[in-house]
Order: sequence, then C-alpha cells, then structure tokens
Amino acid sequence: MIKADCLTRKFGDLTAVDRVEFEVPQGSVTGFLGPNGAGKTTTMRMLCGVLTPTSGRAWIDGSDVTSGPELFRNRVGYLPESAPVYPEMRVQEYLRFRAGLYRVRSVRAAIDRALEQCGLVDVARRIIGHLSKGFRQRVALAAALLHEPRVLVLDEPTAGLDPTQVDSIRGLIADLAQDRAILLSTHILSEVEAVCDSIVMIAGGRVLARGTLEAVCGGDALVCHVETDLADAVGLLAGVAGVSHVQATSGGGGWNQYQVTASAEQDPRAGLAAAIAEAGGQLREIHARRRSLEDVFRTLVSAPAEEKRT
Amino acid sequence: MSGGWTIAGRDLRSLFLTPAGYVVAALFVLISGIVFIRQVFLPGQPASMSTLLDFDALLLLFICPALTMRSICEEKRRGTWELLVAAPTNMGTIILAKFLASLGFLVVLLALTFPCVMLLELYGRPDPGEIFSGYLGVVFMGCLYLSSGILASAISGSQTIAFLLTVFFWILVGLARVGATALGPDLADILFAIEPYGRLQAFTTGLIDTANIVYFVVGTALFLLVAMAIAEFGRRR
Repeated sequence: MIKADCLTRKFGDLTAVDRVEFEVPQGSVTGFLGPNGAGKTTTMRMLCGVLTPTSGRAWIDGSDVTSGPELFRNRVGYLPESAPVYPEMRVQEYLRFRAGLYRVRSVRAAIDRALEQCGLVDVARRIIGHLSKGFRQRVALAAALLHEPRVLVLDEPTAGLDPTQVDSIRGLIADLAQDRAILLSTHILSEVEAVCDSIVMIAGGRVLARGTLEAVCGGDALVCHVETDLADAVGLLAGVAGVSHVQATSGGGGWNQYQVTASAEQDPRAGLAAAIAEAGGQLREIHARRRSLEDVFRTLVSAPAEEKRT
Repeated sequence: MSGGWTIAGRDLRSLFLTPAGYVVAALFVLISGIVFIRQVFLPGQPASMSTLLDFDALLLLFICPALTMRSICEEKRRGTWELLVAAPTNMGTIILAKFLASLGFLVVLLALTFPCVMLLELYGRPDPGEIFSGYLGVVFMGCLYLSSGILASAISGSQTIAFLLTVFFWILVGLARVGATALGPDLADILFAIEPYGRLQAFTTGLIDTANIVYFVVGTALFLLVAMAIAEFGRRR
C-alpha cells in the first residue's frame, strides 16, 4: 500500500534521500530504521506530500503522491516528528478541527472512536498545553487516526514516553496494523523487534537493508563468541563448515577473542571446537546467540558503502 | 474550500483565545475612543466619521501586522504547519484561510467603533453614504496590510521580524510619497500611485472611485499570490 520507487530528495547540494525503494503491504508494520540524519523524516515527508521529491515516485494506496496531491492525502494518517499540536486548544476541539480538515463525515463518532482508541476519554475536555508529553503524543496520534486512513506514517511515535505509555502505543499500533499499512520510524531497535514484521534500514539517505525481520537478521544465524589461546586464528576458524564471517575482537592475558558469524541454519560450535583442538590450541570459552538486529545495524551503519539487499 | 473554512475558523478563534488579540482590540478601541471624543465629538465639528477613520487607518499599520505576524511562521515554529500542508487542501486555500481569519478579526474591531456612529446619529446628521464609503475604504486598507503581513510571515522565521518587515515596508512607501515631489514629476506620479493612504482618504470623504477599488483588490491579491508561491516553494525547494 506504500511504495517508493527511486525516491530522491536534494536540498541544494546535499542529497538527503538517495534512490530509496521499498514497499509496505497491507497488514504490515514496517520499521524505518537509521541513525539521526539518515533521511527518515525527509522520506516520510515526501510520502505525505509535505515535500515534493526531486525525482522518483511514490504511491500511497495506489495514488501517486507526486501527481494527485489532494486525493491521496485523505488516505494517509501522518504523525510528524515531535507530534505537533495546538497547545491552546482543548483535546476535543482540536480533534474536531482535524476532522474538518479531512472532511470526516460523522465527526462525533470519529472523535469518540479516536479518543477511545488512544485512551483519551478522560482528558477530552482538557487544554492540550496542560497535558503531559505522553498525552500530547496520544492526542497527535488520535488526530492522525480520525479519518480512518488505510496507511499510517508515524515518525517516532514513542519518542519521549515512559515505558507503560510505550507499551500502550505499541499495543495500539499492533491493533491498527490488522487492516492497514504502517510505516514507523524509530531508532529504538527493541521497538522494531517488538512491533514490526519487516524493516527498511537507511543511512546517509540510502537503503542499506530491507525485508522481513528474519531475512535481514539472517534467519536463525548464530553469532559465536570464541576465546582461545591461538593467535591469528581467523583463517583457521573461517575454514570451519558453516562459518560465514570471523572477526578478531580483543584479547588479553594470552587469550584471544573472536566473533564468528555463522551462515543460516548451521551451528558451527562443535566444528570450531574440533578445529581448535586439532591445531593444538586450548578453548576457554565458546557460546552462541541469535544474531540480533543490533548486530546487523552496527555492521551496516558502520560500513555504509557496502550495500546489502535481502 | 471546506478545509479552508476549518482553518480560518481555528485561526480566528485562536486570535480571540490569545491575550495578544485582546490587547490589540483594547488598544484599538481605547485610542479610537480618545480620538473620537477629543477631535470629532465636539460642538461645531461636522458630523462626519472621516477624521476618526483616517486615524484608524493609520492605526491599522500597526494592528494588521500584529494580527498576521503569527499566521505562518508561528505554525512553522510549532511544527503544525506540516499538518496543514499534509492535509487534503491546497496551498492557496491555506493562505486564503489565514487571510480571511485575520480579516474577520479586523471587521470585529471596526464594528467596535460603531457606537461612535450611533452617537453622531443621535446628536447630528451624518451622511450615511460617506460613513459607508469610509468603512469600506478602511476595510480595503486593512486587506492590503493584512495580505502584506501574511507574505511577511511566510518569508520570515520569527513573528517579530514579520511584524517589523510589514510596518517598515509601508512606512517606506509612505515616506516615498512625502519625498516624491523632489524626485521629479514622473517618479512622483508612480509613487503617488502605489501609496495607499491618499486613496483611503478618497474613501473617507465619501468618494468611491473604481480605480481605487481596483488598486486595493489587485494589491491584496498580489501579496496573497506571492505568499502562496513562497509557501509552495518551501515544499519544492
């Protein structure tokens, strides 16, 4: 339902978004990841018609965002970064304003539903400026849901919220995802693992990785931590069956540490132990864990030149 | 345009909800009242609103920029501008809505001077045609100032700059007219033509000249169109 094709945005000489391509199907929550200044917000602004792309195209629910600006905007609910609201207005009054802006038909019902969804019933008559940040964030989210958009673009929806509020927003997002397409930007990796089924990772305006969470993390691939007295064992360990990448991490006191990334669906631990024993070395420690999004993010963002598509 | 009425309604309400709106209204009514009592409502004076309306038109030079300075740059500062631009309305509608909201507030302000007209009616025989023409002129003048104020708010990053930009622009135009005669007849003609205050005085003395109406309408439209183009440019820049 969201599709970006070769989307590019330049600000003068700076290319903020460089040929970004991805797709978010209906029923999916896609996490939009990247370090600060990666081009997440710029991409989202282009998808919502706030900025015009320099080149490339994007579609929201089948409508081109560059050609029919007034048509597609009814289908997308946009929560900008920092969740702007008018502080002098009352919650209900603000929602009525937004409903008018989007020509919502049954305003009363829409407002009641949005208040209910976002847990705002008790503060409906309060002045927005007097509410806590968490509530303001929820008011902004409620306003984005009023016209029942089929596509939601949420720019850091949980920024600055306390853990319980974060949980409730995540629950709401999971509920909403059932019949919608949601693109959600964040730099909290655990959040992506909690609510998203696929991810798009960008840095420096370019897509580094995209696909389902499992595909990007390399399925069930394991990362093994190996500690042995063998020095320069990188070549030896890389030769073990099922190992895709070996990196010497650190060492001390005569012990050397290696980080061994396994290829999918193979546990190389026994092979590693055997190889070290065969070479006459001692094995002090070996333990494996699943490759996390954080591992992927660190590797990709620190080496942005290598492009990886899954 | 339905989205436009929603925006205009919100802006107008916000002018009434913020202290700035009340301060502006109170100052306007107070100063107008003083001028009316000390200059117009005196024995022997003609029963005419022209002195007061001429003076109010001068006041508008400060009041209109104060009403419009927030309109765009404050929304940008708060981030709510993004919400308006992402909504299913076009830029022209947003700018027009901002203009109509400030015009609505100005009309309310002018309506507050209506007791002065009633007093004149009670004690004298003012010419209703002249009063109508005078108010029409002041509204036109207000439209011109408001639209230029909205343009300034679209250009600048802060309310203060938007206010000063508008005020200084019109003071410069007014000063140019004063110094015009020294600059030779051709240039003087042009400067007289672009200066609004002389045209306003025609209205307040009861003269509705088509050329003057065209001047104010075209001027207002021009400022709004440029403001719209600049706001749209912000999306494409």
